[in-house]
Amino acid sequence: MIKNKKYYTIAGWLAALYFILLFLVPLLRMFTLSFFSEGKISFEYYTTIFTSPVYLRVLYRTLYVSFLVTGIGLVIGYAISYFISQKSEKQQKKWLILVLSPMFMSLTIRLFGWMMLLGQEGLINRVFSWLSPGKDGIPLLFSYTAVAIGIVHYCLPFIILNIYASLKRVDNALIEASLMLGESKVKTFWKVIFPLSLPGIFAAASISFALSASTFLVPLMLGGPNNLFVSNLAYNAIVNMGDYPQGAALSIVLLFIVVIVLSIISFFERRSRIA
Amino acid sequence: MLSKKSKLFYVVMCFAIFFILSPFLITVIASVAGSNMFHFPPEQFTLMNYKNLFQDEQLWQSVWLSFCIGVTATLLAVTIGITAAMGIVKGQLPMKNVIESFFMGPLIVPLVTVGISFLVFFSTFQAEGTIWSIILAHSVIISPYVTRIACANLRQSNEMLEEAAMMLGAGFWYMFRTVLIPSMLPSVISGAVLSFLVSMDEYTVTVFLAQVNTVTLPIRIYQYTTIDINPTITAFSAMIILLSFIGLIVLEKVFKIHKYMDF
Amino acid sequence: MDRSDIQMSSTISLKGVKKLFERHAVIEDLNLQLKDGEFLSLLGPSGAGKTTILRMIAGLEYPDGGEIRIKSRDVSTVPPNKRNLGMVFQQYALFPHMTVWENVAYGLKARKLKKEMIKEKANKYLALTGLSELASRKPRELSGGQQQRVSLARALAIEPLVMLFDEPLSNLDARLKDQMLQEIHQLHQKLKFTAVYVTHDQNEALFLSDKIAVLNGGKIEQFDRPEMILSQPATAFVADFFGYTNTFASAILKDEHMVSISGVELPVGYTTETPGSSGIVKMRENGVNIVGNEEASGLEPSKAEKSIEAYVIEARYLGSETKLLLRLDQEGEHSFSVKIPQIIRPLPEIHSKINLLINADYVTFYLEE
Repeated sequence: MIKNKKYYTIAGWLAALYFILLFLVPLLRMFTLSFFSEGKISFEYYTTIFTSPVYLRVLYRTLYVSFLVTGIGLVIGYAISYFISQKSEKQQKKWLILVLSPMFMSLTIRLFGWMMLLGQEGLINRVFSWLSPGKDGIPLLFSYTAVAIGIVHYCLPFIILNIYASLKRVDNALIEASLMLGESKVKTFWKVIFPLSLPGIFAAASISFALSASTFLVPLMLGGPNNLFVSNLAYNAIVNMGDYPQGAALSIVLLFIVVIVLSIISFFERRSRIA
Repeated sequence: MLSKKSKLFYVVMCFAIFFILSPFLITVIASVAGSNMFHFPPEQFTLMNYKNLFQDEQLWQSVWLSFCIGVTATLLAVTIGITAAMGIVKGQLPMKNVIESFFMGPLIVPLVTVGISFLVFFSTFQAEGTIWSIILAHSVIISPYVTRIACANLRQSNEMLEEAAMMLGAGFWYMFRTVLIPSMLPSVISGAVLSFLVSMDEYTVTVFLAQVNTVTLPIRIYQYTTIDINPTITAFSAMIILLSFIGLIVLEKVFKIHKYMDF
Repeated sequence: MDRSDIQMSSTISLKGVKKLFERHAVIEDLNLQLKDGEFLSLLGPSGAGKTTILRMIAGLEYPDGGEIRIKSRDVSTVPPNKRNLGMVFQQYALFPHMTVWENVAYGLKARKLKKEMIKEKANKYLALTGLSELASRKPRELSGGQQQRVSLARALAIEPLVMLFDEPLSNLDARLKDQMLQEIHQLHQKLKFTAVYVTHDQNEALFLSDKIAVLNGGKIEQFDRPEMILSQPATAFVADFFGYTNTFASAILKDEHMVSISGVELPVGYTTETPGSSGIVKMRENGVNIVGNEEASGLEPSKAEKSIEAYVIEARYLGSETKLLLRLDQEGEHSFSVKIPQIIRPLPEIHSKINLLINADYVTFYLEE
């Protein structure tokens, strides 16, 4: 056993070495790259980000849409999760597979589907113009609205998964006890079920925000050239302008935003657990 | 009889399900539409797209490339995942919590950040754009799915089985082969399947590394849908969607994957 | 290895073995010797260190001092797979992905024996444990008793130098436990293996063992044959563990056969102390009878018995016995409980005075700790 521990430790170090070489070193190289301009340490690329109105606007948009989408996703996701959790064990499985199925589908293909749905001549605009004839409909595709719809669709399975899991953990006996004690169904929900499902909500919020803020493909396909996220700016800086340090700096700012927001969410989660 | 309230709930749910499934439905419809794929409703029925699909060599090349990358990267990821879990759960590593988060890092660090760092890293060896740069990059970003499930498996595994094997005269490697790996296999396979799917569909990191001769499937799909629009892609997408649904149902029937859905 | 070429020497020998846990010694200076073919039980409450000792013999843990020899080879830091010992685990520890046969053959395959040899031995030990018909089943298809039998067959199949048992019966219900106890005993009679058996159940230890080591706090309190431990428990702890549950404090040893507790005299069957010392008396609940009830009880009055007076605090039936809570004096300082092995009718009245016959063999005296 003592000897085995050694083998396990060696195995762990081998994996860690692989990760250091192919994950940590690249990140650190990019990190240093963003702080050097013409061979000297400089914050030039970061000052550019926080002074350029274009960058600031996109930064603000990224955050705004991510928060909005997380909020919308949580409401829809909670409703679906609650609905499923009220079903019989067998039914739950079927519903779950159905609502989680997008997770197993190619994101590129899903977004392509949304492109067709949201386009000028797409199904949604057709329905709108049929409902209010004379108007030409609103161009949904290539707008932040389209991006928001796409992100909700992208994040929803992850949200449902987390909230559903926490709802499943709520002890049925507690709900029955509350009902037996004369609380109404609505009150039981708000006083028993909802507070007990908070951990799932926080987890869902974290993953949803992290996915939204760092998404690259959704704005690329549904936002068009003018409705970008920070990640797209970073890509453009590197691929279109060849400005590696600027792209690196942008992606590091993005990383810090995600880490900070996740820390704030986990701070609130811990506080809610104590309360 | 359903109460008014739960009827309402059902209606809302139907909308939600429709919302979730709508991009798939429209793709299937568009695949047999004779007109412009961005035009609704379709004007005629045709199987033209499916006919073209099987003659589109470019597309199938990308499928094959992504498949090869996916398989190799998954094999690497499984190796990383198992060895990492062995070290985290049963080894003597310093600051195990930090190391575990480190292995989960690719799930937290935005993929764009990872993608740029790989580009910077591989370009120092002039290796960006090679198939191996993509494989290595994928192996890192998909490994958390295996590592996580392997850790969970080892944590709840029975230490005694290992002890029993040793008592019966098995050395570490014999025990590893005959006891540890077989006991981890079911969960590692489900992690590997997920990893493979993620690799097959990876766009954000890959796009920084890919070049003309390494256009993976998601990049090809993107090209066909936005840059040089090609309706063949509707047939391809519809096929993938159907295959995914069938695969999902089979996986659920065989592996009960809804139990593993915890990512 | 053929069993005939094992010479009659001590198979296992522990000398000055020490084990630390977080820099705190859980076992200190432990010495133990076991002859070939002997069945040893390590008996003690949880936390007594019995499992730690077993794991050190197994090689699953290494001692922090002293040496462990098996067949006169120092194995103190030899890994478990190089010791050739068989182990039966509490939770069976069967490989869930292998059939019963594959489980039993595992150790033989690990030894890279020839195919025919593996087959022969696996089948032999499956037959010995009555599992031949279950050979192609998976462990999860078996009952707890069957699983433990597979575990036994698997350990025996490698024909180990020593069989180690780690509380193998504690997960079984009472009926199965008796049955398995019988089977382990018969297998030991038949195969004459050397065994170390960890348990917290004195009945298992008494039933199976040639020798018992009673452990407390990492130390051996007594290491002896079962009948000696039963009749001459070396310490108050051992006495307590083997059913001497009544304790009288502040007793004075009058002579080798008599002790005085607040003026009341009791016969003593076993003590190593010198007359005049003060200490505690331990007494079994049985081996006591009420005067005038001897005939019914079948207990013959003997020299070793003495009659004393006691006051009844409580009297209840318990199955086919009568349980009395008594005190030696009216103040009630020295209360004790006894079991009379038949139903006494009518129950003695509370506060009444009765005469008791005490069997000296069931009374011991120790110095205060």
